[in-house]
Amino acid sequence: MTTSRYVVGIDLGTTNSAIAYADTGAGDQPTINVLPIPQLVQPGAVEERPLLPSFLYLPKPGEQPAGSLKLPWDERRDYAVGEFARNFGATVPTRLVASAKSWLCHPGIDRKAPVLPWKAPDDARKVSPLEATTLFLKHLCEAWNHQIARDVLGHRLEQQDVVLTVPASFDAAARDLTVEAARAAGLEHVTLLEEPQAAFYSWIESTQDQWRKQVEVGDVVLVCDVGGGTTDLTLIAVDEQDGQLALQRVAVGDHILLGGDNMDLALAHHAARQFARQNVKLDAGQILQLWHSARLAKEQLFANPKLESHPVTVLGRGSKVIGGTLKTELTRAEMQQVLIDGFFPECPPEAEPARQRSAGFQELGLPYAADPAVSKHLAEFIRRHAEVIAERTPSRKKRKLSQPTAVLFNGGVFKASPLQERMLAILNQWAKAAGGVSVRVLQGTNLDLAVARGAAYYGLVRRGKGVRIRGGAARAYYVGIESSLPAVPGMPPPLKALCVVPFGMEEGTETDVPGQEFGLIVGEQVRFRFLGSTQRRGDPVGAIVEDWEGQIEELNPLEMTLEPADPTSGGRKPSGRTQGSTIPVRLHSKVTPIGTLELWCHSRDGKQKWKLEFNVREGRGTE
Amino acid sequence: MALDSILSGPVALAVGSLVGFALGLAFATLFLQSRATRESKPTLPPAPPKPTAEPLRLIGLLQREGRLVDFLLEDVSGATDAQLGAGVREIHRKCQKLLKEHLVLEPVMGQDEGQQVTVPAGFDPSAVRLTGNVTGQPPFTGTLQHRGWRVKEIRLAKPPAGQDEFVIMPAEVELA
Repeated sequence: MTTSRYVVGIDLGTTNSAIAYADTGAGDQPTINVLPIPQLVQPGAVEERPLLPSFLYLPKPGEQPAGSLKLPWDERRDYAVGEFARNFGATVPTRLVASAKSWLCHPGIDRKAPVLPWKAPDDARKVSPLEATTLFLKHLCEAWNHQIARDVLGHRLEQQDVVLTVPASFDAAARDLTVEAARAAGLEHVTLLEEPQAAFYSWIESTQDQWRKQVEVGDVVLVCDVGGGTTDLTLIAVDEQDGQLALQRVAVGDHILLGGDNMDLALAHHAARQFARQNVKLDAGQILQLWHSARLAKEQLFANPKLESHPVTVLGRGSKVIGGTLKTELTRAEMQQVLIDGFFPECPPEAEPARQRSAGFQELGLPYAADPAVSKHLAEFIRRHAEVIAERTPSRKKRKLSQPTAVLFNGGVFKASPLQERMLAILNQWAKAAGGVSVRVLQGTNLDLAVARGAAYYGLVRRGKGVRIRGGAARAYYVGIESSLPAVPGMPPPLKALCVVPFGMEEGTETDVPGQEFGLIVGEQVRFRFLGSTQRRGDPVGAIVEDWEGQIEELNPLEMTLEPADPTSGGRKPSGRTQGSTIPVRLHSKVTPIGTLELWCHSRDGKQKWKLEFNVREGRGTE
Repeated sequence: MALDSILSGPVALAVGSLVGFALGLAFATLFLQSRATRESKPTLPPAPPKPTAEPLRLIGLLQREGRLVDFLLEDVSGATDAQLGAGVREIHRKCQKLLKEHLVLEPVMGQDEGQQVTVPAGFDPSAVRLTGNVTGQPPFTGTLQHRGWRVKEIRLAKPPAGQDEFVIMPAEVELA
């Protein structure tokens, strides 16, 4: 099997996507480059940008002048992806699909049904989160083919080795859907990589092989990735293997919907309140302008420490642009209060983030984090994995340290150094309180592009160049077994959790789940309740956990229907698979080399195998 | 017979010549008409060329993304300095960005304004304008008052086929 000439890394982000690559045909030390992505920036104008905003604009025929959405590779395109989609789409919310990635991992909706734009009327053009993701990947594919593969078929992206990043907190079903979207876009050779790991690889690449001088055995590195839409936390431990420094990803956090966009919106609302005090009401279009203006003020204040305030201006909407102009100021003190104290407040290491208040009726939408304090989410994350961190403390240290010893910041939010400084100050407070020394900062570069670059670097690592972070399954997975207690009317029978995938199970391995046999009824849908945990790490495969509240959360169920009759024998001799008969099976779990999870049912003699599918169609209700 | 008598003698001659004349006229008319159809209908002068909106592209861009035309056409005599200042800062910021994106401009003379410069012989009078005590022959030495601007590159995309180019800003109707 020939290896492809290029190794490609794709960062499919919630707000922005990027694509980086290394040309293995260009000498011994291939460099990582970012591919500029041509996209529609205004009707009729296509320009290259380093990032592709993950927004999809779906106009109906006649809403845009003919030919205004065309691309150099498609004259008849009738939708837009990228900058124009984001900017113009914000003014027409019934035509804009945003945050498709957050919907892709939302357990409460049917992710293959055309539900986006969310709450758009029935006659609007709609797509499923899966389709939207496919369209973003398709655009990246077309951009690549247009620039790199115009003359050589073998250079097409479909033929290259592609590393596609996903949040570390994506569960098995969301990873599966991501791979499905990639296949639908034509990409056959796809491997998944967790985003914080990609950021770490990017850091390794930026040190040009000098990374070993910056970390030591016993270090626990916190990768703190706060992007446009999500906060993703990971711990990577540094240990020793065969005399060499080795890396292992030892913990991941939950998927927290909290990011830079929330921060910009908070500033915009703060400014809107100032206008309200002057009895000025803003309409929807002005709030949008305010959002952009507030973001600009924030960037200026962060970039120039000497600036005390910056104007936030909204131009009049009609032709009386000066007459309708509204202006207010954003002072450094206000920005400090809203952003730094609002999103990164100082808190003790025992701090708990506020929980989602479950009202009687809850409108279904994206499950944004109830508590905007990133530092509190971080405190909870570190506390949950305190044991894992403590066991990494080198034996020469007297006291077990349960705080990370180094930190790598990633994501657009941390381009502002005051935010990095505040986070670092908080981590140092916790480290000192735990008896440790100051936390070291691993200097990340190119915070917008690090994940794509790191993914391309990982593509090279897979070919044997460079050091690999050991990881394995980021969660332990369980199947729910109802206990055999007598049924109590009105009460669901208690559920026991059977471990089918232990935490850290390596990619490319598979195992039988011992101890339990299940009866599959032919012709009826088989359903297994499915659960996962980012905290429990000691359960071996086959272990049964009875009291799992708070540590294991339920995910979408696994399903399969075993059809009656054996197709190979022409249906004459069903060999036991008649409608309604029961076939005893064992469970068999597999972590594929590309990073997805497969659960199979094996017959007793091991000769017949059936794959369970993740049910991504049914909502699990409000949770 | 009567016909014979009509067709003989001077009457016959008259009739004959009349017929001959009539035939000749008919023939001539036919001949002229056919010539006329070959030369087709009377030709109109060529239609004047449809005015192109290409010169409007840049100002259209500055309006749609920078609100420049709205600003220039607005009556700002009643606005306070603070209000005008706030709006102008925004418009200035946006329009500057647009101008830099779509026109690559360079100064005609690279030196700083206020410096002494030399204007060589054979200079292009559309590129360098002389003022003050203009006497003698080039090369001239003088103080640079304005560096001048020259457009090196125009980066304006052709609008899509369905775009009415004379609409530099579409009317905006917000649906409830």
